[in-house]
Parts: sequence; C-alpha cells; structure tokens
Amino acid sequence: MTIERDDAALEAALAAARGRTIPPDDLVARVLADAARVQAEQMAAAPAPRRAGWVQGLVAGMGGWRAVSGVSLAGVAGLAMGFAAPDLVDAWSGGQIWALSGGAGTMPEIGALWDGAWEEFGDV
Amino acid sequence: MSQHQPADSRLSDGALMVLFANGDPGAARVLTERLLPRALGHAARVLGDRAEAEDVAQEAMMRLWRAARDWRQDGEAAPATWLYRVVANLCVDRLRRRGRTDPLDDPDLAADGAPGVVSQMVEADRIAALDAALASLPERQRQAVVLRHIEGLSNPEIAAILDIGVEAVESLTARGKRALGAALAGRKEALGYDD
Repeated sequence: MTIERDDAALEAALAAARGRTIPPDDLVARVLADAARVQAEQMAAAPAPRRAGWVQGLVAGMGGWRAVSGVSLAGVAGLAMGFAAPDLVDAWSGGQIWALSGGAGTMPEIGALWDGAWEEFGDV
Repeated sequence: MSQHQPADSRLSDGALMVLFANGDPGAARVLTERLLPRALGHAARVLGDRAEAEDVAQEAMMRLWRAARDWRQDGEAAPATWLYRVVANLCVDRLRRRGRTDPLDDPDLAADGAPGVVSQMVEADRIAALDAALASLPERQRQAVVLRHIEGLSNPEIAAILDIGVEAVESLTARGKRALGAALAGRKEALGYDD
C-alpha cells in the first residue's frame, strides 16, 4: 500500500510539472529579435547570381559548350584529313584547289616556305 | 509587398526551418511558439533556476536559427529533438561550471497558470518537491527522467538527444524514477498525500 501511495505521489508531482511552460514575453521578444538578426545576416550572405563573362556569352551564342565542341571537332577532323590525304581532298574539289592555288595544291612545300622566309628577311 | 508567403502553422518544424532559411518572416514566430516552451521547460527542470534556464533556452534557439541555413529536411533529426540535445548539452555545461547539483529554491518554477489559489499552492508545492527531488539525481538520470516523464518523449528520441543507446535510456529512467520516488516518499505531506 505504501509503495502504491508513493507511486501516486510521484505521478501527481510529475503530472503537475507536465503543465506547459509559458515563456515570458521578454524572452519571446529576445528570441524573435535573434531570429530576425540571424535571418538578415544569412540573406545578406547568400551568394548573388554571378554575371556571365564574355566567354560564356560567346559560347552561349554559339549554342553552348556542346556546339562549340562540335565545331572544334569538325575543324580538327578537316585539318587531319587535309594532312593525311591532300590529293583525295583535291580530287573531291574537282581539281579546284589545285587550280586556285596556282599549282601549289593543298600541301605547300614546307622547305619552300622556309627558303622564302630567308629571302624576305635576309641573313641575320 | 512581401517576397514570401507567411509561414503556415500546419507545416512541420523541418519545413519551417527551410522557410526560415529562405527568409520567411513568419517561420521564426511559429517555431518559437512551438519549441521555446519545450526548451525552457526542460532547462528549468534540469537547472532548477529560471533565469539560467531562460539564458539556455535563448542560446539554444539562437543555435537553431544559425543551423537553419544548412538544414536538410530528409537527413537531420527533427528540430525539436535537435533543440533538446542542444539544451541538454548547455545544461550539462552550466551544471559542471557550477560544480554542484543541489537545487536552487526558485518559486518561479511553479506551474504557470494553475486554476484557483489553493489548488495552485498545492500544485506549486508538488512541483517544488519534485524539483528538489530531481536536483538530487545524477545529471544524466535527471535529464532522462525529465525528457521521459515530464516532456513525454520516447526512449529512442531520448537516446538521440543524450547520444546513448535505448537500453541505457531505459536503465537511466527506471533508476531515476525509483530514486525520485524514494526522495518524494518523505514529502507526501507537501505533495498533498497524507497517510
């Protein structure tokens, strides 16, 4: 019986303490002021959207990096084909490249270019 | 014109945290209404000092605001659990700084708003006796008992708050409740239970 009464006493005390604690108004005001200050700091510190530079603008104008990559790849492929099989390229053009280049064809003589440069600037 | 819609009081605490981080001016008010009483109540019971409890509750809420920016609804604990953990740790710091665990006689700890003068006095006596008994418990037992039997949290929630296992919580609350009962046994008169 004593144990039951002790349990009842404990439960009564716990139940009394379970009542909702009401924070005083000045504490609520302090907490809300803290919240407003922290919120303002965090909003001010949030990174602003970055302005795109001229390179990004150019790339965007060409259709994005994917399009730029495609153009670059096509250029490199054309150059490689020209070096690897210049006669084939000339044949595809119907001999136009040969005719327009004055017989130099698609692959100028590298040695001739070198000699030409020396004739232009003379011995140093 | 406000950039954000006012916080909806039906939203979860986690959703309100996200709204707060997005600059919603009403989210802080709803979160304060929900969480501040719990933080204050827990701190007051564990510390036995209303002024110190208010400091702890304000500090814990400040940490909550600061945590909002990185809050993830899916990965974090519930804000209430997170806040209880902060309050528990701040209370431990304060108790260790005090270097003592004896109760402080603080009449402000009596229940707020009990109806009728006589019943209010009886209830205040019961709470004062309970606070004195709580203060006699070791710090971990006290935290566990307050969270379980006064704040009404589940054992897994308490385990997350105190960073211990569920079995340890069960052990702490059982031993704590027995010790409380023993401490209150000699004070039945104060509790309104005459033999």
